[in-house]
Amino acid sequence: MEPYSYNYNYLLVAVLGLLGAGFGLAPILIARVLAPRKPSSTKNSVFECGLEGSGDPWIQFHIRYYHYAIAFVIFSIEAVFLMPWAAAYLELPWTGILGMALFLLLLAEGLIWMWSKGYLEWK
Amino acid sequence: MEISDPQEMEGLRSELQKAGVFVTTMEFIYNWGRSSSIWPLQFGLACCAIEMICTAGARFDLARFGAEVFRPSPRQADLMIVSGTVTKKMAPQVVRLYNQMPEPKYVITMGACAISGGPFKQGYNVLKGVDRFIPVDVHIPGCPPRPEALIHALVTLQKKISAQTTLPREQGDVSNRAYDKGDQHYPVPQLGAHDIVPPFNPEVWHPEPVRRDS
Repeated sequence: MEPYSYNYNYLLVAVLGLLGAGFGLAPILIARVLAPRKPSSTKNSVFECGLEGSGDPWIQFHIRYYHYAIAFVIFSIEAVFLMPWAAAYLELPWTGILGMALFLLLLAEGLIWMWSKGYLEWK
Repeated sequence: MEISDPQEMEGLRSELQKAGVFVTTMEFIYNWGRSSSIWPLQFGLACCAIEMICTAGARFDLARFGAEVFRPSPRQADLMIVSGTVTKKMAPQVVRLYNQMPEPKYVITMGACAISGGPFKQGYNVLKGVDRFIPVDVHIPGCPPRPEALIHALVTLQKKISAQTTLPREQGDVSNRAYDKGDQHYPVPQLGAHDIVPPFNPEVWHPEPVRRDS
Protein backbone atom coordinates (compact mmCIF):
# COMPACT_ATOMS: atom_id res chain seq x y z
CA MET A 1 0.00 0.00 0.00
CA GLU A 2 1.22 3.49 -0.86
CA PRO A 3 2.41 5.31 2.26
CA TYR A 4 0.36 8.38 3.26
CA SER A 5 -2.38 7.45 0.83
CA TYR A 6 -6.05 7.58 1.79
CA ASN A 7 -6.30 3.85 2.57
CA TYR A 8 -2.98 3.88 4.43
CA ASN A 9 -4.52 6.12 7.08
CA TYR A 10 -7.27 3.59 7.61
CA LEU A 11 -4.66 0.84 7.96
CA LEU A 12 -3.27 2.73 10.95
CA VAL A 13 -6.75 2.92 12.43
CA ALA A 14 -7.20 -0.82 11.89
CA VAL A 15 -3.85 -1.59 13.56
CA LEU A 16 -4.74 0.62 16.51
CA GLY A 17 -8.15 -1.03 16.76
CA LEU A 18 -6.61 -4.51 16.74
CA LEU A 19 -4.08 -3.51 19.40
CA GLY A 20 -6.85 -2.04 21.54
CA ALA A 21 -9.00 -5.15 21.20
CA GLY A 22 -6.00 -7.36 22.02
CA PHE A 23 -5.19 -5.29 25.09
CA GLY A 24 -8.71 -5.81 26.34
CA LEU A 25 -9.06 -9.47 25.36
CA ALA A 26 -5.63 -10.73 26.49
CA PRO A 27 -6.29 -10.50 30.27
CA ILE A 28 -9.66 -12.21 29.82
CA LEU A 29 -8.06 -15.06 27.85
CA ILE A 30 -5.14 -15.40 30.30
CA ALA A 31 -7.59 -15.50 33.21
CA ARG A 32 -9.62 -18.15 31.38
CA VAL A 33 -6.53 -20.34 31.11
CA LEU A 34 -5.02 -19.72 34.56
CA ALA A 35 -7.94 -19.09 36.90
CA PRO A 36 -9.41 -22.09 38.72
CA ARG A 37 -13.06 -22.58 37.87
CA LYS A 38 -15.37 -23.67 40.66
CA PRO A 39 -18.92 -22.76 39.77
CA SER A 40 -21.64 -23.31 42.34
CA SER A 41 -25.28 -22.39 42.56
CA THR A 42 -24.47 -19.58 45.03
CA LYS A 43 -21.69 -18.19 42.86
CA ASN A 44 -23.81 -18.26 39.71
CA SER A 45 -26.78 -16.64 41.39
CA VAL A 46 -27.60 -12.95 41.16
CA PHE A 47 -25.50 -10.57 43.29
CA GLU A 48 -27.83 -8.75 45.65
CA CYS A 49 -25.42 -7.50 48.35
CA GLY A 50 -25.31 -10.99 49.84
CA LEU A 51 -29.05 -11.48 49.96
CA GLU A 52 -30.94 -13.93 47.83
CA GLY A 53 -32.58 -12.30 44.87
CA SER A 54 -36.37 -12.27 44.66
CA GLY A 55 -38.80 -11.43 41.92
CA ASP A 56 -38.43 -11.15 38.17
CA PRO A 57 -36.02 -8.47 36.86
CA TRP A 58 -37.96 -8.23 33.58
CA ILE A 59 -40.67 -6.00 34.97
CA GLN A 60 -42.74 -3.65 32.81
CA PHE A 61 -42.89 0.03 33.56
CA HIS A 62 -46.33 1.48 33.77
CA ILE A 63 -47.52 3.42 30.73
CA ARG A 64 -48.23 6.50 32.88
CA TYR A 65 -44.47 7.17 33.07
CA TYR A 66 -44.52 8.16 29.38
CA HIS A 67 -44.16 11.88 30.12
CA TYR A 68 -40.78 11.21 31.76
CA ALA A 69 -39.71 9.61 28.48
CA ILE A 70 -40.92 12.64 26.54
CA ALA A 71 -39.11 15.04 28.90
CA PHE A 72 -35.94 12.95 28.60
CA VAL A 73 -36.00 13.12 24.80
CA ILE A 74 -36.69 16.87 24.80
CA PHE A 75 -34.10 17.96 27.36
CA SER A 76 -31.38 15.30 26.96
CA ILE A 77 -31.45 13.58 23.58
CA GLU A 78 -32.16 16.85 21.77
CA ALA A 79 -28.92 18.41 23.03
CA VAL A 80 -26.93 15.37 21.87
CA PHE A 81 -28.26 15.78 18.34
CA LEU A 82 -28.16 19.60 18.27
CA MET A 83 -24.50 19.89 19.26
CA PRO A 84 -22.90 18.18 16.18
CA TRP A 85 -25.61 19.66 13.97
CA ALA A 86 -24.74 23.17 15.13
CA ALA A 87 -21.01 22.51 14.62
CA ALA A 88 -21.53 21.47 11.00
CA TYR A 89 -24.32 23.98 10.36
CA LEU A 90 -22.57 26.09 7.68
CA GLU A 91 -21.57 23.11 5.54
CA LEU A 92 -24.92 21.36 5.66
CA PRO A 93 -27.16 21.18 2.57
CA TRP A 94 -30.76 22.37 2.88
CA THR A 95 -31.89 18.79 3.67
CA GLY A 96 -29.89 18.95 6.90
CA ILE A 97 -31.70 22.10 7.98
CA LEU A 98 -35.06 20.63 7.00
CA GLY A 99 -34.40 17.37 8.87
CA MET A 100 -33.44 19.14 12.07
CA ALA A 101 -36.40 21.51 11.75
CA LEU A 102 -38.71 18.49 11.50
CA PHE A 103 -37.08 16.90 14.55
CA LEU A 104 -37.39 20.12 16.56
CA LEU A 105 -41.00 20.49 15.47
CA LEU A 106 -41.83 17.03 16.83
CA LEU A 107 -40.05 17.83 20.09
CA ALA A 108 -41.81 21.18 20.36
CA GLU A 109 -45.07 19.35 19.95
CA GLY A 110 -44.09 17.09 22.86
CA LEU A 111 -43.16 20.12 24.96
CA ILE A 112 -46.49 21.81 24.26
CA TRP A 113 -48.27 18.55 25.10
CA MET A 114 -46.46 18.30 28.45
CA TRP A 115 -47.06 21.98 29.19
CA SER A 116 -50.76 21.73 28.51
CA LYS A 117 -51.05 18.58 30.63
CA GLY A 118 -49.38 20.40 33.51
CA TYR A 119 -46.40 18.03 33.86
CA LEU A 120 -43.96 20.95 33.99
CA GLU A 121 -45.54 22.25 37.21
CA TRP A 122 -43.65 21.52 40.40
CA LYS A 123 -46.08 19.84 42.77
CA MET B 1 17.19 -31.43 35.51
CA GLU B 2 14.47 -31.68 38.11
CA ILE B 3 14.75 -29.34 41.09
CA SER B 4 12.01 -29.71 43.65
CA ASP B 5 13.71 -28.35 46.77
CA PRO B 6 12.91 -24.63 47.06
CA GLN B 7 16.17 -23.93 48.91
CA GLU B 8 18.16 -25.58 46.15
CA MET B 9 16.18 -23.57 43.63
CA GLU B 10 16.96 -20.35 45.48
CA GLY B 11 20.67 -21.25 45.58
CA LEU B 12 20.74 -21.96 41.85
CA ARG B 13 18.95 -18.71 41.15
CA SER B 14 21.45 -16.59 43.08
CA GLU B 15 24.37 -18.52 41.55
CA LEU B 16 23.11 -17.81 38.04
CA GLN B 17 22.37 -14.20 38.92
CA LYS B 18 26.05 -13.70 39.74
CA ALA B 19 26.84 -14.87 36.22
CA GLY B 20 24.40 -12.35 34.82
CA VAL B 21 21.63 -14.83 34.08
CA PHE B 22 18.22 -14.13 35.50
CA VAL B 23 16.04 -17.17 35.97
CA THR B 24 12.59 -17.41 37.41
CA THR B 25 9.72 -19.84 37.58
CA MET B 26 6.22 -19.56 36.20
CA GLU B 27 4.95 -20.05 39.73
CA PHE B 28 7.00 -17.11 41.03
CA ILE B 29 5.64 -14.77 38.34
CA TYR B 30 2.12 -16.05 38.87
CA ASN B 31 2.29 -15.64 42.64
CA TRP B 32 3.94 -12.23 42.27
CA GLY B 33 1.07 -11.11 40.06
CA ARG B 34 -1.55 -12.46 42.44
CA SER B 35 0.04 -11.03 45.57
CA SER B 36 0.66 -7.62 44.03
CA SER B 37 -2.92 -6.98 42.96
CA ILE B 38 -5.16 -8.16 45.79
CA TRP B 39 -8.50 -6.49 45.23
CA PRO B 40 -10.60 -6.34 48.40
CA LEU B 41 -14.36 -6.58 48.51
CA GLN B 42 -15.85 -3.22 49.37
CA PHE B 43 -17.96 -3.63 52.45
CA GLY B 44 -17.67 -2.57 56.08
CA LEU B 45 -19.46 -4.01 59.07
CA ALA B 46 -18.64 -1.72 61.98
CA CYS B 47 -16.15 0.81 63.33
CA CYS B 48 -13.15 -1.17 61.97
CA ALA B 49 -14.44 -0.26 58.53
CA ILE B 50 -13.65 3.39 59.29
CA GLU B 51 -10.02 2.39 59.83
CA MET B 52 -10.15 0.35 56.63
CA ILE B 53 -11.44 3.37 54.69
CA CYS B 54 -8.68 5.44 56.27
CA THR B 55 -6.13 2.85 55.10
CA ALA B 56 -7.37 3.20 51.54
CA GLY B 57 -7.18 6.99 51.80
CA ALA B 58 -4.29 9.30 50.98
CA ARG B 59 -2.52 9.28 54.35
CA PHE B 60 -1.90 5.55 54.62
CA ASP B 61 -2.34 4.84 50.90
CA LEU B 62 -3.06 1.16 50.44
CA ALA B 63 -2.37 1.74 46.73
CA ARG B 64 1.34 1.36 47.50
CA PHE B 65 0.67 -2.36 47.95
CA GLY B 66 -1.62 -2.79 44.96
CA ALA B 67 -4.74 -3.33 47.05
CA GLU B 68 -6.56 -0.02 46.68
CA VAL B 69 -9.07 -1.29 44.12
CA PHE B 70 -12.02 -1.97 46.41
CA ARG B 71 -14.56 -3.80 44.29
CA PRO B 72 -18.27 -3.28 44.87
CA SER B 73 -19.00 -6.78 43.51
CA PRO B 74 -17.69 -10.12 44.79
CA ARG B 75 -17.19 -11.25 41.20
CA GLN B 76 -14.07 -9.09 40.92
CA ALA B 77 -12.72 -9.37 44.45
CA ASP B 78 -9.88 -11.53 45.80
CA LEU B 79 -9.88 -10.51 49.43
CA MET B 80 -12.61 -10.23 52.01
CA ILE B 81 -11.72 -7.88 54.87
CA VAL B 82 -14.19 -8.70 57.62
CA SER B 83 -14.00 -5.31 59.28
CA GLY B 84 -16.20 -5.36 62.33
CA THR B 85 -18.78 -7.21 64.36
CA VAL B 86 -20.55 -9.97 62.48
CA THR B 87 -24.05 -10.22 63.87
CA LYS B 88 -25.98 -13.42 63.49
CA LYS B 89 -28.31 -11.64 61.11
CA MET B 90 -25.35 -10.59 58.95
CA ALA B 91 -23.46 -13.90 59.03
CA PRO B 92 -25.46 -15.61 56.21
CA GLN B 93 -24.80 -12.64 53.92
CA VAL B 94 -21.07 -12.62 54.72
CA VAL B 95 -20.77 -16.35 53.97
CA ARG B 96 -22.85 -15.95 50.84
CA LEU B 97 -20.64 -13.12 49.60
CA TYR B 98 -17.56 -15.23 50.32
CA ASN B 99 -19.05 -18.04 48.26
CA GLN B 100 -19.74 -15.63 45.41
CA MET B 101 -16.10 -14.53 45.19
CA PRO B 102 -14.07 -16.34 42.52
CA GLU B 103 -11.08 -18.48 43.48
CA PRO B 104 -8.39 -17.86 44.64
CA LYS B 105 -9.82 -15.87 47.55
CA TYR B 106 -8.52 -14.81 50.94
CA VAL B 107 -9.97 -13.52 54.19
CA ILE B 108 -8.55 -11.03 56.67
CA THR B 109 -10.42 -10.67 59.95
CA MET B 110 -9.96 -7.13 61.17
CA GLY B 111 -10.32 -6.48 64.88
CA ALA B 112 -11.44 -8.34 67.96
CA CYS B 113 -15.08 -8.60 66.88
CA ALA B 114 -14.41 -10.41 63.62
CA ILE B 115 -11.95 -12.71 65.39
CA SER B 116 -14.00 -13.66 68.45
CA GLY B 117 -16.93 -11.33 68.98
CA GLY B 118 -14.68 -8.93 70.87
CA PRO B 119 -16.36 -6.70 73.48
CA PHE B 120 -19.75 -7.92 72.27
CA LYS B 121 -18.91 -11.57 72.77
CA GLN B 122 -21.60 -11.99 75.45
CA GLY B 123 -24.25 -10.54 73.14
CA TYR B 124 -26.99 -12.95 72.10
CA ASN B 125 -26.88 -11.67 68.54
CA VAL B 126 -23.13 -11.63 67.88
CA LEU B 127 -21.23 -14.30 65.99
CA LYS B 128 -18.23 -15.31 68.10
CA GLY B 129 -15.72 -15.16 65.29
CA VAL B 130 -16.26 -15.35 61.55
CA ASP B 131 -13.78 -18.24 61.33
CA ARG B 132 -16.66 -20.48 62.41
CA PHE B 133 -17.93 -20.38 58.84
CA ILE B 134 -15.18 -19.28 56.46
CA PRO B 135 -11.44 -20.05 56.42
CA VAL B 136 -9.40 -17.05 57.60
CA ASP B 137 -5.89 -16.35 56.32
CA VAL B 138 -4.80 -13.46 58.53
CA HIS B 139 -6.15 -12.24 61.88
CA ILE B 140 -5.46 -8.66 63.02
CA PRO B 141 -5.97 -8.03 66.73
CA GLY B 142 -7.02 -4.59 67.93
CA CYS B 143 -10.13 -2.65 68.80
CA PRO B 144 -10.01 -1.23 66.21
CA PRO B 145 -6.64 -2.03 64.63
CA ARG B 146 -4.78 0.97 63.30
CA PRO B 147 -4.35 1.34 59.52
CA GLU B 148 -0.72 0.27 59.90
CA ALA B 149 -1.97 -3.02 61.31
CA LEU B 150 -4.17 -3.58 58.26
CA ILE B 151 -1.22 -2.84 56.01
CA HIS B 152 0.82 -5.31 58.03
CA ALA B 153 -1.90 -7.89 57.57
CA LEU B 154 -1.92 -7.28 53.84
CA VAL B 155 1.86 -7.68 53.61
CA THR B 156 1.58 -10.86 55.69
CA LEU B 157 -1.03 -12.13 53.23
CA GLN B 158 1.23 -11.22 50.31
CA LYS B 159 4.04 -13.25 51.88
CA LYS B 160 1.64 -16.13 52.38
CA ILE B 161 0.52 -16.01 48.75
CA SER B 162 4.11 -15.82 47.49
CA ALA B 163 4.99 -19.00 49.40
CA GLN B 164 2.05 -20.98 48.03
CA THR B 165 2.42 -23.68 45.41
CA THR B 166 -0.29 -23.17 42.85
CA LEU B 167 0.88 -24.87 39.66
CA PRO B 168 1.19 -28.49 40.78
CA ARG B 169 4.06 -30.61 39.48
CA GLU B 170 2.28 -33.69 40.73
CA GLN B 171 -1.34 -34.35 41.57
CA GLY B 172 -2.29 -32.97 44.97
CA ASP B 173 0.91 -30.93 45.29
CA VAL B 174 -0.79 -27.61 45.94
CA SER B 175 -0.91 -25.67 49.18
CA ASN B 176 -3.55 -23.24 47.92
CA ARG B 177 -6.91 -24.94 48.20
CA ALA B 178 -8.38 -22.93 45.33
CA TYR B 179 -6.16 -24.84 42.90
CA ASP B 180 -7.28 -28.25 44.12
CA LYS B 181 -9.69 -30.22 42.05
CA GLY B 182 -12.18 -30.19 44.88
CA ASP B 183 -15.05 -27.84 45.52
CA GLN B 184 -14.60 -24.71 47.65
CA HIS B 185 -18.16 -24.03 48.66
CA TYR B 186 -19.08 -23.28 52.26
CA PRO B 187 -22.66 -23.85 53.42
CA VAL B 188 -24.55 -20.65 54.17
CA PRO B 189 -26.06 -20.65 57.68
CA GLN B 190 -29.71 -19.77 58.16
CA LEU B 191 -31.44 -17.86 60.92
CA GLY B 192 -33.20 -20.45 63.07
CA ALA B 193 -35.64 -20.10 65.93
CA HIS B 194 -32.95 -19.46 68.58
CA ASP B 195 -29.58 -19.34 66.83
CA ILE B 196 -28.09 -19.58 63.39
CA VAL B 197 -28.26 -23.10 62.01
CA PRO B 198 -25.71 -24.66 61.95
CA PRO B 199 -23.88 -22.70 64.71
CA PHE B 200 -20.53 -23.40 63.00
CA ASN B 201 -19.06 -25.26 60.07
CA PRO B 202 -17.14 -28.28 61.44
CA GLU B 203 -15.14 -28.41 58.21
CA VAL B 204 -13.60 -25.01 58.94
CA TRP B 205 -13.71 -24.50 62.69
CA HIS B 206 -11.73 -26.80 64.97
CA PRO B 207 -11.93 -25.34 68.48
CA GLU B 208 -9.50 -26.44 71.14
CA PRO B 209 -11.23 -28.74 73.60
CA VAL B 210 -11.88 -27.04 76.92
CA ARG B 211 -9.53 -28.34 79.62
CA ARG B 212 -10.47 -27.79 83.24
CA ASP B 213 -7.97 -28.49 86.02
CA SER B 214 -9.71 -30.06 89.00
